[in-house]
Amino acid sequence: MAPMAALESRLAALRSVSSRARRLHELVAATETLARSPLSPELETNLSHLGRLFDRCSDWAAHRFEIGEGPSAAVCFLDDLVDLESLHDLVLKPLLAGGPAAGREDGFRSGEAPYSSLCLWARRRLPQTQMRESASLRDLVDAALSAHVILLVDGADTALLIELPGYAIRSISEPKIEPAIRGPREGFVEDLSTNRILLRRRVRTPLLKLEQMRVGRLTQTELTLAYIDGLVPLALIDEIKRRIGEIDIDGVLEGAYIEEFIEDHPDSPFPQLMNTERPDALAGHLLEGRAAILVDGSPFALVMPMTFWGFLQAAEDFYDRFYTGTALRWIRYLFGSIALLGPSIYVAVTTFHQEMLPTPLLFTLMAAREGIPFPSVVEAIVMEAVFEALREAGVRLPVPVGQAVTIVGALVIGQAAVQAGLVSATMVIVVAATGIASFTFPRFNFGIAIRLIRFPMILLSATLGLFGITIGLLAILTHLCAMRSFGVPYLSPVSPLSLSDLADVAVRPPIWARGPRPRPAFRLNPARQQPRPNPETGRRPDGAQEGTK
Amino acid sequence: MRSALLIALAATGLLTGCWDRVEVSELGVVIAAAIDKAEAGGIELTVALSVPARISPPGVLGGGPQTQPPATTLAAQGRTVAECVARLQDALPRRLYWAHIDAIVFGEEIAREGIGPLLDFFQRIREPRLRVSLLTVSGRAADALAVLLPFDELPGAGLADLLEQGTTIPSSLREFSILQARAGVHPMTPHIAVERGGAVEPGRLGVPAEDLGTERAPHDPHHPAVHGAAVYRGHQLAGVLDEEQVLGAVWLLNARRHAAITVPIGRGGDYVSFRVLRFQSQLRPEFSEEAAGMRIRTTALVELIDNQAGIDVTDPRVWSLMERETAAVIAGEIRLALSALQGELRTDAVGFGDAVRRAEPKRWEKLQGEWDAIFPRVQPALEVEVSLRRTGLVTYPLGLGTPRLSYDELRLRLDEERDW
Repeated sequence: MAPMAALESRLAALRSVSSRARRLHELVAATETLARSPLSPELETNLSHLGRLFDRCSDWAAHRFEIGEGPSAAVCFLDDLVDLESLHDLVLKPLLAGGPAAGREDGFRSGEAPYSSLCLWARRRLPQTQMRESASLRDLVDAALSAHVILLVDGADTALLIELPGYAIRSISEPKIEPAIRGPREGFVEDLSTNRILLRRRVRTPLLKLEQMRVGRLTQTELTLAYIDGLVPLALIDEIKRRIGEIDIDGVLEGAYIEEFIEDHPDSPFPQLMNTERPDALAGHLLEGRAAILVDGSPFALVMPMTFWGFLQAAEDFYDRFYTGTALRWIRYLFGSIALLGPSIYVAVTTFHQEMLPTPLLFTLMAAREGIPFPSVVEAIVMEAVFEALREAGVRLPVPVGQAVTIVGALVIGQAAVQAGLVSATMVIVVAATGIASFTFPRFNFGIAIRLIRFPMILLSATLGLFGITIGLLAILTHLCAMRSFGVPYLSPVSPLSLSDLADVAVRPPIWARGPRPRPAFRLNPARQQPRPNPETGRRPDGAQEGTK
Repeated sequence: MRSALLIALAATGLLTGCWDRVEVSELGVVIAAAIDKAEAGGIELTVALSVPARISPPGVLGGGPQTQPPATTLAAQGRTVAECVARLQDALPRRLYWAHIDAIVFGEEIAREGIGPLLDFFQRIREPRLRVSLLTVSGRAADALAVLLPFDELPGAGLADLLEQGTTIPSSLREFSILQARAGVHPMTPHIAVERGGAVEPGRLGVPAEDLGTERAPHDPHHPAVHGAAVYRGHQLAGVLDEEQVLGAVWLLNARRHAAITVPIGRGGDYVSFRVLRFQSQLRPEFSEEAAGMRIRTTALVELIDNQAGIDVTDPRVWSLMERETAAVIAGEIRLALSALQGELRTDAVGFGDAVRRAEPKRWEKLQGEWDAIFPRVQPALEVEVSLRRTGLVTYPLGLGTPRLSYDELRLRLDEERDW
């Protein structure tokens, strides 16, 4: 009864795949049913099933041949994905030459256990390591879609899957978004396995776990969950896997899709996952006990959990001397505040608190504002909006045109608008300073959040002055305090306070003076290094605890 | 619920609007104010206001020289300062803004009547800073606002800077208010007078403007300059210490001292000058049965800045001689100030009473009521100690290979004078 029912459902599925009723969910369901069925021992049946599934796919190729004088066989593949030359040299040539049938001991003898002897032969003769066997049609479909060649043999109800990728991959190049003056010049590319290689080459331990997952009903995008076993709480890994597992979406084209699905506060303007295209930065995060998701097709790895302060640090901080790193970090904090508050403080001070200005500065401002038709708040919002528009235009346009936009924009905003008396010269300075400041954020997604919050802050400062700015800052602070990223408070280690981790926020400690690992890895493995020995005596400072191995 | 809250929040921002928002272009910034006695009785308030439209805006090229100064003065009369302000406001399209006022100038006439009631307005409203300088002008105060300092575009703006550089007793609204309320010391303010301006063109230095007969003004406009300090008894002007007399008050009050100390060497018309690097005066009251005394101990560090007499600075004995002579000059300056204060002014502006209060609070309680009568009879005992720190970049006046006055000659000269 069971075989009959299975046969009937398979026939129904076949009919519906080829019928004219084309609703995606029906098609997907039918394909699923078909793919779930086991392989048949008959070559023709299998080929026709595969042919139906890849109906109207012009890149589908099914090539029949006979192994020596033995059984008939077929190779099936998507011809744009596989390396045809390797297919000929490594698979077809030996098989057509009848290697198995040559009567050698390990040869392929027709009639008796054809498939197992084929496998045995293939294992010995075919110089392929990327090879496995499968008895499920679904596996075959997946394999064909990820650059495998399917070798079907008549009489066998399993198939041999040989991976022969032959598509073009962008070569490894310097990271575009996160360039560094000193540091590795390699950046992630779109190919997942290349990215895994880049990561693995930096962390050479079996403790670096790379778990494979798959998301996307149609795109079937491969994800790799990377973490270092023993540094990451397993609960965190389970939580990440649970959240990814719950994603039901037809397609994942970039890590951003995953990010939006799994972050804790999707309605917050602040990013809670970091993305990086630097393998060295990613390795650094993993060593601090974070987990990462590499998404096939995206050169950006997602890192979690992240804190507010993490977004203000650049990988390069650790490649400079620590004085430099610390100074850069403070410049970033200072200009980060300017990026958020610059225009709103200007508006508040010039419209509510003129007594705060030095007298000569007030006169200069008054002279500059004389005859300007708009109140400073309108001026500020318009100018900031124009600046954002220019920036956006500069990003979207091709490089040569982008330059033209920059020049025209600079001319229009800077010179012409001031001379025409539309905006005051001081406002141009404020906007320019804010613009520069907003580019000091090492993380684009964090910087843009700050840049957008600037606009409500301008409105608040225009209605309530410095009082409004205080209210706005308190609101932001409350929001930040309430946030968590995968269980880690967003503002930690500042709030809740953790003194040992605080050093890394306030300064960039020298590598040899770094404290224990940050939370939550701290609980699993606190000591990441031994103190630096004295260069003369070779002794380590007294009271240094033994590092946990 | 949440969206209702958001709408309510947005409404508070949007509906209430920016009701007390004031753009800088709506302000009439007061730089300085002058208060005089009005001819018709009551007071006359004159304010110097900046006119930003006449300030050449930054960044505009080819603005050219401004023909009009970027400021104006306005006056109004009334019974109180606030009334004058209200009348001024009637004539102004911009709100008078007091937060940046630098100086409040009082005319001599109204100062003699008392400035306490006039200060109340500035102490009460919250805009003016307590740092605003108070000044007294001989004659009409408005004159001091009507003239420009050569370095400033705005009338009145440089007054506070002028006091920084001049040798006088600085006074701010805060200090004046404190001293006015404190028993045992009377307040002083800098005293300024309007002076004739310097020559615009170096070649015409010293040529009187009237004689040139050209259209171009050969001189800068008249401008205010510091002339000693005005002494107030309580809040009423008692009199003025001139440039010489104020030096002693500077020593006693530990104020800033810029004037050089010039020490005569005998009677031959030879002098050396010293600059004061640092000094400190301490007052210690000493009471005997019949008289009140005040021991004044002043220590000063000085530097030789002018060796016109050509003394031998390489000889340590010359150093100690000069230290002794300088101390004598300082003591003379102090005596001069005290004689003015204890004599014609009869006002304790140097804080002798305050020193008594600190040293002997019990006795002060008894004396407090009659201190103004006691002060002129207080016997000062001076003790001045000077130490010479350095003598500048040259040893002897250049061109002279040797000092003109060696130790012995110097000694002789000075003794000569003493005998004489």
